[in-house]
Amino acid sequence: MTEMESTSGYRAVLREGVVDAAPLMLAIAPFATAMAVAAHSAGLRAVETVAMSIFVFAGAAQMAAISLYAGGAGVVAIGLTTLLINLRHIIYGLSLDRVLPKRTQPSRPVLAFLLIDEAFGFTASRIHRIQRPDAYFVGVALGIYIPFVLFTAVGAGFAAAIPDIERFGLEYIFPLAFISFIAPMLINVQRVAIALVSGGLVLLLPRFIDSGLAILLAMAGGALVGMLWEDDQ
Amino acid sequence: MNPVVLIVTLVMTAYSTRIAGFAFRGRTMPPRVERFLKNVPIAAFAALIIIGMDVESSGADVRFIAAIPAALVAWRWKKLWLTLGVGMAGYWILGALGLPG
Repeated sequence: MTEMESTSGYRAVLREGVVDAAPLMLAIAPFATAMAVAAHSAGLRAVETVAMSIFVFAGAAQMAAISLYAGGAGVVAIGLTTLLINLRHIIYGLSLDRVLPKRTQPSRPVLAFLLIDEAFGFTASRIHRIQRPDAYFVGVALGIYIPFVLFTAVGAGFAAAIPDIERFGLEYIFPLAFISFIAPMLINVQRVAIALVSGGLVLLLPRFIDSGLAILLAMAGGALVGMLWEDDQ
Repeated sequence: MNPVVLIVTLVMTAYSTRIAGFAFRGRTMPPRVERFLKNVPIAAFAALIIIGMDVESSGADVRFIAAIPAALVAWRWKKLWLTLGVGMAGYWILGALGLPG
């Protein structure tokens, strides 16, 4: 393969990722806008709110941090909470690392910045039919990063004039996207068991422990059941 | 707290967890670890679905019911757009009908 062909192949796969992520914009836009409005009422300036989205790019953690900040929480409480919310990224990284090429483009430290639920989800659910998982991953992540930052800016800039978009319940798009990823994968009893264990744990555990830690343990618990199941075969 | 401290804290907690898993750089793992990691996506998707159902807030019943046709469509046609369309339509229709939520 010539250098040129390999570049155009990379770009085509990247574009595919951007296109695949496009439907999620319907949920990203109101989420980022609402988050920026919340940041405004918590006392952050527009430039700070936008900088947060540019450099952090972690919706759930940002939302939690803003509400803690508004309530006057200290840096330790905010740091620990967001760390717990983000713990699941460790196993996403481990899981993706093994299916990515040895040399990725861009390098792993750059890919890591883009590691979010949706980019992991799209890439993991299509891993068997994409040539360049690194390109696809970047495409999906940019397809979310760009509207995320833009709509953070919209929310931060026009906080006072934003209508109540939350009543449409567009955040329901996120679980629906994960349903579309998981449904074709549930082809045997083992996989259904993994899903039931993980889903069950994430319902139960938050009653006893921090919800961020609960998410990590639920995912690890499900994957562990899958591993033990195969050990038995 | 200075907002810059807030942002730097978030950058550190987000990036440290994101880079941690990539440290192995594609090296092969013991077979059991491989089997564990292979099953992470399904476990992660199931957990994220339940989180998205937001069981503590109102409308959770409607979200669970609307997920059934969406899941069937996803399983049969494997199209993201179609799944999102059927799911949201079901969610809005059930909500408009005033089902328990």
